[in-house]
Amino acid sequence: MITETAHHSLAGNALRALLLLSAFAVLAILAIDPRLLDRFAFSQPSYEIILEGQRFRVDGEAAEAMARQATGRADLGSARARLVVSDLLERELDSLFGDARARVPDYADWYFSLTGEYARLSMLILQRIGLQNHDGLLERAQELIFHGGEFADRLGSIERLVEARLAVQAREQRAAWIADLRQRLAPGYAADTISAAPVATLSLDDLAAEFGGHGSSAFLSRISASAAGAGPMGVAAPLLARMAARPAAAGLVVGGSVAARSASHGVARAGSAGASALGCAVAGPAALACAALVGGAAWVATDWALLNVDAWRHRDALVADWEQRLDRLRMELEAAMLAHYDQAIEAWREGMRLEVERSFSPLESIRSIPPAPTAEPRMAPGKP
Amino acid sequence: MASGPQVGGLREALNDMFWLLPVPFLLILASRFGSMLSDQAVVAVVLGSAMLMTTGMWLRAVAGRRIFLAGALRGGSPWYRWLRGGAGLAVVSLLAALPLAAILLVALARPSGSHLLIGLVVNVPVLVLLQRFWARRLAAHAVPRFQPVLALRLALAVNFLLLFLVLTVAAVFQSYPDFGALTLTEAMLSQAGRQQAESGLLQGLMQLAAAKDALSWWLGQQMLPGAMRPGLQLAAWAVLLATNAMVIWSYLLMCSSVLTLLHWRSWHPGTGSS
Repeated sequence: MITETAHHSLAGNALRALLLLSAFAVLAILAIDPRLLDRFAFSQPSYEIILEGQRFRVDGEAAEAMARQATGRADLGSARARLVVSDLLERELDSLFGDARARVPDYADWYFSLTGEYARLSMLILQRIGLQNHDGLLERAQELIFHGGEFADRLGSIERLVEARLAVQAREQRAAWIADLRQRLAPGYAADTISAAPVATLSLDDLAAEFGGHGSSAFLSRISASAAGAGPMGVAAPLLARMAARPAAAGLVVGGSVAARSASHGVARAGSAGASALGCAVAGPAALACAALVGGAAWVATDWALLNVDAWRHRDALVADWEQRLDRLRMELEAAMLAHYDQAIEAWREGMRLEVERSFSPLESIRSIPPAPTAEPRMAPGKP
Repeated sequence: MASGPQVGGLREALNDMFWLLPVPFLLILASRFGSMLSDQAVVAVVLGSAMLMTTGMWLRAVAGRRIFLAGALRGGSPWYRWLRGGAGLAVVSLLAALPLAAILLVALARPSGSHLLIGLVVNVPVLVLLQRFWARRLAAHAVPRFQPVLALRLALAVNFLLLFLVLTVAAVFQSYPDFGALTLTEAMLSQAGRQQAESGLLQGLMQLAAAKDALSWWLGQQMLPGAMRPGLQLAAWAVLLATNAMVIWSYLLMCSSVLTLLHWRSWHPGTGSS
């Protein structure tokens, strides 16, 4: 009987010891992480949101929705920025190259004028004897068509315009995102409505700054830095050189090179000048002066006539050739500039996404949001 | 035959541990949700904890008084009845328990490492086993009516030393904020500013405690030349350890009160003079 009681006591003690060990284990786990209690005390964990110095309390679901919304806003903002840049570039380059196209006839007039003819001739001679290394004809063309430094100035103003527009876009995006957030926070997410201790505090002020491009100046610095110093003029310079190196159109090739045409013109000039000078033989002692005067006049008149013939034959081809060159330059320039700004916008977007990830890092689920596919920028044809 | 009392003693020890488990559990709750309590709730918690502590403190005070009277007064003296300790000792105990309860709540509500809570959980079996140990050791020496309270007193003293040692070691290896470049005021204000609680009363107490911690950390980090440096560090450690000691003592008082309530009838030294 005593043994039976002892066995019962032993079993009771063993059961107690087992229960006690379990209770200790539970308490030890709770002591290590008291936040586990939140699951029993509250329906879901809450997070504290700090935005512009104000504190809000949201549940996990709302915090995740905010994180997703922020990521979506970053993608949307960068896509809009690309559109804005694309439209702006298209408009500004249309204007820039429209003006240039309008000046091509002026270049053609100069090209087929006596001044142009003798200028080309002198450039050719200077190049032949090594006194001039650069392409004077191209310089003259750029001066007449692009008005010299005006092209660079206008490209610079386009650059400033795009950057200012991007800064405005970033500010608008920041304001829109904060408005979205406040709308979400306003009705039922004030700090007092959820009594659970926050699992974590999510400060969104850094994210707001990232959305706003860290202010205009910092944003512009980032755009410049992301393109490694290659501004629009840096992009345009090699394209201009490539445009000049491009072979002339077929019509102009038929017309011949400056040297070849000058040579053929020379034969005609010499012929007409010689014939005119022969008529001065009757002038006696003044025959030499007469021959020089009449021969020179005949030379110029012949040259003028030949140039008019050349203009009649090749002027349209020259204008068409330059218009084609300008079209190609515009296309390449637009593509290069779009690529330049696309790189900057992509860096900005990546920065925003990283900041979203960092700001919402206490949310486990945020780490598993797959990166959104990069929005394909609307590029001009011919983008490499 | 010999296993009967042993099994009974073991069961009693296990039961004691069971009854003690709610204490660390409630303290874990306080550490997690203490900062969300309202002013009224804070007052209620402090008062409740103080009342619980008072039970144990009062019983030990009564036993101490009886031991003194038993040695000092004759058996039939009417003074025995007047001086035996009753409501007066209870009020004194309550007055001592109130600040200790507040200190314990503030220490738990402030964000700290998990080592304190783990120490509180692990301490439950330690206290019970120590109490059993001393009860057995005193069986042949102490007067039977005072034996349980004496055993509890000794167990509390040893347990206090053990827990204090553990928390001191933990404090040595803990990392502290660097206040080397701050003035004392800046350090205290920065620490006080970090405290947040729903209750203004609790927040004020937490800010005081944080400022005190900042004071001790700042003192410990002052690299002054000469003999000042060890002195300051000693002062810093003294402040830190004194706080630890009060927190530990508050907790042990709560545990001892639970045990006292459990064994009230058998542990009370009685009302008589012998």
